[in-house]
Amino acid sequence: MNRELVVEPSPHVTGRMTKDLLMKYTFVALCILAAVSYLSWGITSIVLSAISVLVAVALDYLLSLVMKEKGPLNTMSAAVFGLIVALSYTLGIPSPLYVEVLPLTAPMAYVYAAITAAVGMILLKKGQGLLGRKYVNPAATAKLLVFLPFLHEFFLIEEHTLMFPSLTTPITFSGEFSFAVFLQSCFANAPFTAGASPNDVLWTLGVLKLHGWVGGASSIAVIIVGIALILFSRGYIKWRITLAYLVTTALFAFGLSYVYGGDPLLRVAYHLFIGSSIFLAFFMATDPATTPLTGLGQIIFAIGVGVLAIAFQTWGHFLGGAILALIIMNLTVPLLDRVGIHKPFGRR
Amino acid sequence: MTFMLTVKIEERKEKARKVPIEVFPDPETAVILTFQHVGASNAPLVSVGDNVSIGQKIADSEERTSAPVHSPISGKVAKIGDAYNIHQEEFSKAIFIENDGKKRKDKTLQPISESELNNVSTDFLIERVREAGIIGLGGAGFPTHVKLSPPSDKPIKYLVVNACESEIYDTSDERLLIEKTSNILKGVKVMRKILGSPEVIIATKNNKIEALEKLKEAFSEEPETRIVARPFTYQQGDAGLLQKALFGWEVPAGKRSYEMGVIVHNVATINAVAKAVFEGEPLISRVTTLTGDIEEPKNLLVKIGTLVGHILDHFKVDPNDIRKVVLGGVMMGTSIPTTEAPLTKRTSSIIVFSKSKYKPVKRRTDCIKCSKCISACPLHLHPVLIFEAIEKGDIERAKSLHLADCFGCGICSYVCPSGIPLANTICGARY
Repeated sequence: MNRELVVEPSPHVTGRMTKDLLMKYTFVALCILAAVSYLSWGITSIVLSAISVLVAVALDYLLSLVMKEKGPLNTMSAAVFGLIVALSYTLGIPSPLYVEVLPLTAPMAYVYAAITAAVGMILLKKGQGLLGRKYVNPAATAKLLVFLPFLHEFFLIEEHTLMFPSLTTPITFSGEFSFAVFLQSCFANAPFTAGASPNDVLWTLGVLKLHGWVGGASSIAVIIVGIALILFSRGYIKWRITLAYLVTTALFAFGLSYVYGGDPLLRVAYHLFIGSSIFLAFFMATDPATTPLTGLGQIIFAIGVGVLAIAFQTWGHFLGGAILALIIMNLTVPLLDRVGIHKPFGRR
Repeated sequence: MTFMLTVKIEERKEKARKVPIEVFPDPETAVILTFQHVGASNAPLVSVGDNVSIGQKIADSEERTSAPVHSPISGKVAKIGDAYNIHQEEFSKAIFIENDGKKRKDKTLQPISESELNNVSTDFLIERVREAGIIGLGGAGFPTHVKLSPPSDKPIKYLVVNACESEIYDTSDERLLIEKTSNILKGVKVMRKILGSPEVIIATKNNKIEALEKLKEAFSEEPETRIVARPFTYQQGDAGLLQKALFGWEVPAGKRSYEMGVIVHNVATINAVAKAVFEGEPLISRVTTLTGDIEEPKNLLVKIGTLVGHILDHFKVDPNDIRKVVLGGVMMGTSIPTTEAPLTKRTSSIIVFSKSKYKPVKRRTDCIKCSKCISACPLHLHPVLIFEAIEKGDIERAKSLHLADCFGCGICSYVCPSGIPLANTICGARY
């Protein structure tokens, strides 16, 4: 009658959510956005995504052999990383000036996406893993590192204000050299020398961009897929960050339009819906490993990202400044984990 | 957003809740652990070779926070040795009694009739509860007579009958509510008398439909009694969280319920009190649910001291297919290393996990810092931070994060996508 039984700690039932399942959900969500990007770039963005995922997954496998890792592979996690690298890649013309200097089109874009995925996998995913804690978002940091040689081309350079209309002046829809025309020339195809109607601009920003971040091609798609992912994953995604970021960005942009004048709607839509903002809000700023644990910490973090992103774009002429804002705020996470420790039950 | 913040756990009670209580035959050998409660340990009152009868006290302590144990069968003390004690997770002293089949009854505890209840003293009733060896049968195992004698400067305003049975799988309390409703009513009357006629609140889940009907019927005449049926969650089965749900207040950390004027008792405990007072039967049997990966789950009235293996063999559970056996609920209960473990007063359920239905769901990976454990903890603790502090050996930090407040509900481990044994580690470091 005496039988040896398995002894395990309680609880003896467990929820169905696992890291792998969470990664699968995220991967599916990202795949939908990759599919949406076909509308803007055709096969180019699909190839870019495939290359990036393949590089990430292959390197994950090779590195696990080199580093003699025990246990099963995190293939799903590597695939998600590869896809985020591709979807945060800038394809096409973010500003007419940069097209000559930056690897924004195939085939150079494929090479640079592969390099970004490789750098991110080696240095930031596996490398940070050795430190015992991930300090910065791997995809965002890899992109910044790979594009570092080009950074002086579009960051804090006075003369570029000619091409990148200053955000410290009134920004309006109307006029030949208006901000709306600039946006259309960045994100839509036809030249808009004669001006751009508000509807055209809002369509571009909200529904379909033809250039810019692959993942941000359609803001409305990002929002729908992002919310679906949050709901499907039943609270395992740090939705407070997304919410607080979007609210901060909208309010801050709205405030700036009162300081500098112009059309508030245009400024708010611009800061919210460029790819680096909307895609980052749902899929990069919520990366669990590099964001705070406490609810209050997450909200402070998100406010920080929102404020810094707008600051870099407004006063630094850094289109896509959210990426740097995210990395800076990532570095504050060990500190933010110490705030927002709430009082437990019966001690309030 | 509440649906994302509260963790709901599938109850898995559908089959067992419909199965009437079945009397399990007396065992050939009963193995009575001398120490089954929380408090001071007992010493045996009998020696090898002694003849004992049903309900005879066989081990006791002079300390106040203790409860005696009794022989569930009549027979001879064959051995005083060690048996596996699930509550200590090691072998401890037990009295082995061989059944002589004569069913001789000990007459020490004389039953009283319901009409006599008004004439007996509170002290008599408290003494009866103690002598009957009654402890918190919901699983806590705290001696009931201590809980029933709060300091005289703390009047009790509410007696809460915890009929939520929030543990997953367990249906033993639910069957008691259905089949022993009159006992519950009688037990409540006894407790009411002891506590100075507090208001009674019976808290149960609104999906215990049959139980709810029986309760409403039985308690219709009982004054100042409310039946509160709500979709209480698993977490709200805890006395503190149940009070928050019922009254809106939070029992301050470190204080006990009676300081809020509240006493919470489990239905099985109340049933045992009724049996002790009106039938003169000490706590020698209890209802336990045999369930899990079992075709036909059972609710069994089993003698305490019956070996788990004996019950499994009786129902022909394939011994080669048993992977794990958990006693006292899958969320907070403990798995036993051997089926030679005897049933205790606190064994509300026996849950069998088979090898054939086993599928590993989670593998242990590094924490991904999803913070789900923080949003899921019903006490608003920070499980992952406490866990990290314990892993680093920084027990002071763990204490400053109120490690000791954890009551081990297991929700943090349940939700963890990385399969980290948060609850187990935190509970293990509490003392």
